[in-house]
Amino acid sequence: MPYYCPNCREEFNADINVCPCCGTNIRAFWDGTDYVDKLINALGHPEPATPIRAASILGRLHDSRAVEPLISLVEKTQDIYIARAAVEALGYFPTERALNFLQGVADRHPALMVKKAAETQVSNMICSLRGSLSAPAMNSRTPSRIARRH
Amino acid sequence: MNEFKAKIARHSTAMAKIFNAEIVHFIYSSANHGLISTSLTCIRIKNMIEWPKYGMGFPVAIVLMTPACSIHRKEYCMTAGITELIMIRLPGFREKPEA
Repeated sequence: MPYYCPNCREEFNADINVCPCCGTNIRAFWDGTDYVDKLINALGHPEPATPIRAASILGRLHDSRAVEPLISLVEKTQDIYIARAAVEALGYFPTERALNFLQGVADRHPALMVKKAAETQVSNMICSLRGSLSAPAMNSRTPSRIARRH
Repeated sequence: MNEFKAKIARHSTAMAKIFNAEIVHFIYSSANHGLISTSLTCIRIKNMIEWPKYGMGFPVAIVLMTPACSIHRKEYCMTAGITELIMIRLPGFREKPEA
């Protein structure tokens, strides 16, 4: 099975402890690194399925440390599937930073598939934000509805 | 090892490291379903207590698979000698390219 160095991405046929290329203590990295940081590191994995899956999991975890790495991934990758996965993951973070970035992707990204994914995420985020803003207003109308019924 | 099998193997070891897991079994079928080949990897979690933090259930083992693999699930379990297995389709599949 092919293993890799999480620092220089060199590939090995065995699960070795220290990278002969860059000297990174691979075992110490895997044992001492937080789960979210491992996923963020995996966003740079050369096998495209790995960053796609890592991005998807990072979105579900809602850990804010993932926002900037996901944005950086969308900006740098040439793979539209990876870009789309990162855009979809950013949709889980209803922050101004993520919303503004996704709006920019929806407006300017060269790949239609990525643009459409960003449009969907922006739309979902705006709906979600409107819902959270209108919730108190609905509560304030509730007494009048009750009053009308009686 | 052909190109697609090597890709799945790379992905499997990468995910196993992230999940603090070990590869239990790796099989690959060259059967093609459209553009997607079938592959299955079973990884076993070393520290089960840690698993809930991954937010995806509580499996005895995890199988990474491409979408077409579910049809081979029973065959796979028998091959791997695993009787108690919770299959999880992890998020983030690389989908068939759009036309």
